[in-house]
Amino acid sequence: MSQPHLNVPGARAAVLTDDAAAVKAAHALAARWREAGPRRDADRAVPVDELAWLSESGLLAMTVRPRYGGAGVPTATLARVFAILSAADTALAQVPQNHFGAVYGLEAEPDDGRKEFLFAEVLRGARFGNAGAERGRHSRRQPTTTIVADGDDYVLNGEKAYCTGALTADYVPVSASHPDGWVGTAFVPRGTPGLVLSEDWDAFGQRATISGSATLTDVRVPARLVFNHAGRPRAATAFRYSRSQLTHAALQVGAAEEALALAERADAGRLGGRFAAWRDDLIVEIAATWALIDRAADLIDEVVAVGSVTGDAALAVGIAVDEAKVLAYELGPAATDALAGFLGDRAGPRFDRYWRNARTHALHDPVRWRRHYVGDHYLNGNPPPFLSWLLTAASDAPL
Amino acid sequence: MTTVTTLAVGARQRDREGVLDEATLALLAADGSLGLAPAEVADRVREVSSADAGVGQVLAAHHAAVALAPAADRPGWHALATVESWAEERTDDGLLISGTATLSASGAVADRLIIDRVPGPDGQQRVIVIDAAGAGVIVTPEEPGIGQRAAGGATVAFDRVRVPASRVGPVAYDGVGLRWRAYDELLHLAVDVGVLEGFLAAARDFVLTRARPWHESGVEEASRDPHTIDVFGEAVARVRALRLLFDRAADADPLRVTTARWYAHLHGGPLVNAVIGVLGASGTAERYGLDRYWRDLRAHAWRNPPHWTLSEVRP
Repeated sequence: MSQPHLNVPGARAAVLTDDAAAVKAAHALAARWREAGPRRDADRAVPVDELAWLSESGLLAMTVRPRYGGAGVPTATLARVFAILSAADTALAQVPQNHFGAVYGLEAEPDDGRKEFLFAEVLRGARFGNAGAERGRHSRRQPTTTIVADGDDYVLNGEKAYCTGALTADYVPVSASHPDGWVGTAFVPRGTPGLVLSEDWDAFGQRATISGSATLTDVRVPARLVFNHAGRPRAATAFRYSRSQLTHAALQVGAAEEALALAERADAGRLGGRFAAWRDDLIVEIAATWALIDRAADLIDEVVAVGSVTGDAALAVGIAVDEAKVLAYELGPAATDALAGFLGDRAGPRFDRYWRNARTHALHDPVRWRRHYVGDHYLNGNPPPFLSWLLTAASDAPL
Repeated sequence: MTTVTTLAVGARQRDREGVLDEATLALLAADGSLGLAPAEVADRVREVSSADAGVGQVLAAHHAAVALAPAADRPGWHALATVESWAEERTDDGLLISGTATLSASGAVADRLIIDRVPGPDGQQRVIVIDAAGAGVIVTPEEPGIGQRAAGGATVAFDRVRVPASRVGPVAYDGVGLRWRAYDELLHLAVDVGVLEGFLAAARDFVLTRARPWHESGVEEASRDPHTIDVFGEAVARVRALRLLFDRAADADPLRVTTARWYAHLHGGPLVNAVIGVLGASGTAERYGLDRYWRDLRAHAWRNPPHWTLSEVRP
């Protein structure tokens, strides 16, 4: 069995010590992505260099707790960083969303040296890129991908979809079901034989996410990289899922902020009063969306500070994140559409990508679902079905 | 019963009759709403407006006027007088004033009228306080409009009104102009936030207790109709966002206040419009009075649109 190793120059990752350092690093990376992003949109090439810069930036470890050597930034800062990066390139910025979800998942593991190892890898610049989702109506529940023990290793078989960032990740967290009934996550090192990641992502936007499919054929993983989720507290799992979703809302605000920044540089006088009014309105909508994101972020940090999660707390966070998405998922596509309408070519080369990216990303978990969750909770007190399943199901969650 | 609950019970009657009753005035005087510290005012206006935006407007107008009054002149209800014609003579112990003015929303019930926009003969800013019950002061209530009907406003005529020199002084609000205006804007914002929060709660209550399900939808209860849920989902997110923007504007920073006011201005009407659109025809029954929220919101927006555009207050 080969030892896990980094395939990107992650060993050169910067060490970020606080919020200000994270925001500064985000702006520095954004400057490079703003230039390179359009090229990756044009050629649909795998953004190897662009994601190596992300590893080098140190941002991948910004939420790792200080006791493990990370900056442990608050959730509002994480959201801010995602917005900064998304303003530069919404496609590249989506790539690490699930990385931070995987970091949350590892936090829940006991201190037995295994998560410390993976956190150390993250501090060196390693990135997680998931293979969790599966096609089919039960895709977000029990995985059909299997995991069985074989000596000191485990062996995985199955098919995954929407594997955002997995193609270039250093480890691919794969959720799988064991014949004994438990669900676990295997952190499969990149290059492991039998793990085939496809470039079959064909969406008209978010091209650089390469959210393609994966097949696992007798993929062998050492036991120390497999985490058995049996017995995990359900409320904590539901909370972890919800908190990992907030960065999606931040991605859309970032797209809208870029539209605003481009509009600010345009000659308003020549474009007339309707343009000026739209720009003013956009500022207001961005502020409103940030208000909901920051509220959700604060709720998340309050739950983290308490140290244990109740079902009510997990639900409150879930609804707060959904409220933020209700506004954010309308904001990004609408702002980038109007930008094209007002500025056209003056928005720069390949300006259509702003809308293509925002429109594509907002279908990650469609806004009509979010409105429904928020409205059904407000009117009928119902929790969102997936959250409800996480909170009550007899089986383990593939998270 | 709390003040807000009591006000909610009487809101429809005040709306029908277009009068601000003595009991309501006494209630607000008794619970301390008139003498709140400036930092507490906006949230009280919001709470009161969620029950009755006309009463909320009167309370807001009172506090906007009180903020300009010298401390010694603060008991009782206050209103701001915007002068239309003005003549003054100096006397041995003060001024003799004649003229006309329009009064702010608390005008019809005010004990003291505050005039701050008439500079003295030497051009200096000053505040003049006039007893509404004094000789030569004739207050004429205006007909209430389409909404906020408890806050009808009034006009006033001054006929050789004697004002002692002790009632003519410097402007009380520190920094004057911009800061007072931002505070006034914050109180207007509080009215909008209150109306929308009150409306959303009333609409939810209607859906859960009164609304009939769409007979072809296949659902047994109106609250399970996916279209209804969808519209409420968006409304809940927007009203929450507005509330957060309001909370952040509590320091009366002009940019934060203006951002929130425009958010209310852009979404308030369409939001009420859309939510009533999914209540079913029974939601328009006069006896439920849900149109009051729309009329209050629109009356307020028409009389008091955002004072600044965002471009004017951005750094």
